Amino acid sequence: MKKVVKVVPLWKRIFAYVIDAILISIIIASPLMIKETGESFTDFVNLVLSSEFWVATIMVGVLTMVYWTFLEWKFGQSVGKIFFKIKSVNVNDKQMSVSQAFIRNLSKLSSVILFLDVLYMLISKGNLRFFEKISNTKVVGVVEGE
Amino acid sequence: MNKYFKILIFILIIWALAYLISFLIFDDTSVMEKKVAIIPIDGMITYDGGSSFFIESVSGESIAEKIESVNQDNSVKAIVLEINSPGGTVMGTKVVVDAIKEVDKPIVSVITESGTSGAYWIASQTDAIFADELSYVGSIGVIGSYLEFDGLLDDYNVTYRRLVTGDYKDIGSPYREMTSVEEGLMMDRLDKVHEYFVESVAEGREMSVEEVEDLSNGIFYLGMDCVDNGLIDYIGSKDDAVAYAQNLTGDVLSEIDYKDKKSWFSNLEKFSMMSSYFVGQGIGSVLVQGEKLEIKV
Repeated sequence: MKKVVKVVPLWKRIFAYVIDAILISIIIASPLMIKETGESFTDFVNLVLSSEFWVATIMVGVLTMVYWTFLEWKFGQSVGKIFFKIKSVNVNDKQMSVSQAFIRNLSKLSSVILFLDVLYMLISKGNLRFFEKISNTKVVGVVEGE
Repeated sequence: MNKYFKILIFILIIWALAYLISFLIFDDTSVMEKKVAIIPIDGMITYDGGSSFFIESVSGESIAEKIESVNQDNSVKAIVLEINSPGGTVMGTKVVVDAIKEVDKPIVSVITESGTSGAYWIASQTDAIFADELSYVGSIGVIGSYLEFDGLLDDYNVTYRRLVTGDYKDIGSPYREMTSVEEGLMMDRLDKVHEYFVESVAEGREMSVEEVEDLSNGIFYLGMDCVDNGLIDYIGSKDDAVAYAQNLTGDVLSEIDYKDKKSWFSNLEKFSMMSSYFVGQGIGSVLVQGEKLEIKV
């Protein structure tokens, strides 16, 4: 039996995110960007001007959203959340829908938006990110074996 | 199925998908690695290279291999031949000409100091030729001249004992005077090479054979006259040639130099050889350097 803990320390969420970010960079960003390691400024200009770069960037975004959305919709947990025993659920502590999982993770496509999203936690009730609030989802702790 | 196993399978699928998409998006090489290959042609061109004490020659075969190699390299989008050569042997040159004809990407040549005779033949096969105003260009012609020592041998009472099974087996031997028949035979062959040379230049430069023939009296021209007479396209430097090649591709290219790197050991070996040579020359044992007949362009 699993017991849901309502209050999750922020550090757990941050470290869980870091683990997921590392995993995403290994399994998604790295394969798509590995061929683009240039040596000079010319290489950098070529990269930014190329259509391949933008297609690859979009695909990184799409696969990243698939990662977050699928895992949080299906299991309520990403790999990082499994490590720290936390879970994403809807406001009724039930499994969230695909659209809810998708919306709550949209901010993770951009580090700037994610920063603002997290900043919202300072003024929100219940430590909710802005995208968690609009998707009616939240993060809770899980204690196994009770 | 265990939840964690399902997550692992999902992660592997995402990983494989990322690689598959990467494979579909990018061609064999990265967009970051688009290059213009700079291939120097420096010195007299012979088929297999090699150097004597005073003349360092470059291998036409080696140049051709480099051209073929960069032509197959998808990261190389254009080729620039940096030429400073007085020409070379017929086959040493032709093997490079043949390699250029197989190139299916922009190829431009720049004549830095000298691009004459066979070196010009090579340049004429490229999409555009750049040269400095004072570069030596042209000298379209064939040479088969050699030294004859029969008079010198007579002076020293040395006899050339001729033992051949064919009348012309030792044609071009420096140890006897060439007969008028032999000279005619040699000139016939030189004329054929000349004709081939002129036709190939005319084809490469998109000029008429007559136009090239008018310029092929063996004289070299200064770069400043060569835009007008059609031997080159532009007055310019290596940078100009690289910029031109980039324009032809429409890409921003990074330069990669295919210059042969000489090892410390090879330089030491050359120094050692030259030292030995001058010591030998001081002793005075070298009266005559044997020179064989070789047709050069």
